[in-house]
Amino acid sequence: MNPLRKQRLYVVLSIFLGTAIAVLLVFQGLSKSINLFYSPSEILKAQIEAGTEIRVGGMVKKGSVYRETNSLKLSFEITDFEEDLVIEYEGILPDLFSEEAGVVLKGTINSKGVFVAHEVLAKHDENYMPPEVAKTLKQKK
Amino acid sequence: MGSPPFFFKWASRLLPWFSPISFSILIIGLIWGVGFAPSDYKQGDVYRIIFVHVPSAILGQSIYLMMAIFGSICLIWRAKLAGMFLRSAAPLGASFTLIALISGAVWGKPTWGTWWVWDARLTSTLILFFLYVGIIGLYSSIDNKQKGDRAASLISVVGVIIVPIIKKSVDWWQTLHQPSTFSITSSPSMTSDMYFPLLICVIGFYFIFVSLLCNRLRVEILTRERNTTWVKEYLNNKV
Amino acid sequence: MLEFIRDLFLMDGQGKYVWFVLLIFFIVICFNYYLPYRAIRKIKEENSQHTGE
Repeated sequence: MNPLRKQRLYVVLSIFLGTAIAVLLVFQGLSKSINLFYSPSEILKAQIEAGTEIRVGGMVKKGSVYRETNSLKLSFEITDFEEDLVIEYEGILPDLFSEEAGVVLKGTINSKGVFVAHEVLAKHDENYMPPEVAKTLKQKK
Repeated sequence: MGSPPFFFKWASRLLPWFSPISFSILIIGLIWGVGFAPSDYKQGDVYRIIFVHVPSAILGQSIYLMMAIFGSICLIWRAKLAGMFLRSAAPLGASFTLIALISGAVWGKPTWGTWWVWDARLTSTLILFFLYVGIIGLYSSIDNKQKGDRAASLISVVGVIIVPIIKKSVDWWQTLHQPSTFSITSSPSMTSDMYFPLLICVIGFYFIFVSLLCNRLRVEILTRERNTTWVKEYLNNKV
Repeated sequence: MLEFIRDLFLMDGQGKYVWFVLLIFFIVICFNYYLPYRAIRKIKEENSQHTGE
């Protein structure tokens, strides 16, 4: 390679490495705030002030969903397998909401330590399969 | 290979074959995926959006990677064709990224319950789209072709860090978006009767990209080499 | 056969999402095919005018 091209190669490489390192450092610093939601244990540890709007995510605990009979109100618990958090919500749920599935909620913590959600998003996992396969998998369990 | 007339000749000769083949692969993959693959146990039929969403997201990212490679070649060797590649590929990368964003939003509404959240995966993909738009804007605002090529090359090299960030965002941060279903390195987390049509769609998307790119490159070559004798000869013989 | 086509179109109410995505996809692809085609035609037209004078 002739010296001029070699020099340009070094310039290109250093531009690439420079921006890569800078961007990664910035993201390292911002890492916590890039997370879309907190886990229940983070929320309980952080003692978040009542009334601050936050997002929390976790898995809906099996058997914890309780629906009121004549309204859209419901309550359930979410867990990160360390701590549980009680959720209250009134409104329409996304199709994928179910027990033992991930959810991301937006809302506030009230003085009793109950999370009052006003938005429920269902998290989907990366697994796709036909219904028959899901059935046999369940039977094997 | 690097000479524009040589490339032009071969592109013109191969495209009439290559384009129909690409379209056939794409159509076969989509018909298989949308019409015949089994539905998902949890989402039902709406998951079929994956057959458009995943391939276009893959393309959106790998086109940027290619642009960074050709951008470096353009900066180091000043190869003419590399600059033309950048200019031709940027609108295609933007198109595929846009399709990925739109299809993701349309899928997100019924499954997640929202069109859009500012999580790491979605936001970084939006940044990728803006990088493409920036490169297209640069070209349209800089009249000098060489300067335009170099500015665009620089942006592709600087911005390419977004590609590993998009890829890894679902592992590094808490996001609403799920981890990858489709990857070359690990076994897929879907059954083969869903995976094969998806694979064909990905291949079809790559083929379509190559044929769209060659079409654009031909235009780019003709416009830039307008005053050379070979272009004049080509135009006068062919009209 | 008719049943199959109807199911394919409706997809239990989810068809609107799937078909909308496919429609957008094909519009974008066709647009990207059409642009270079138009550009080449334009170049050829300009050239023939030029040599015609």
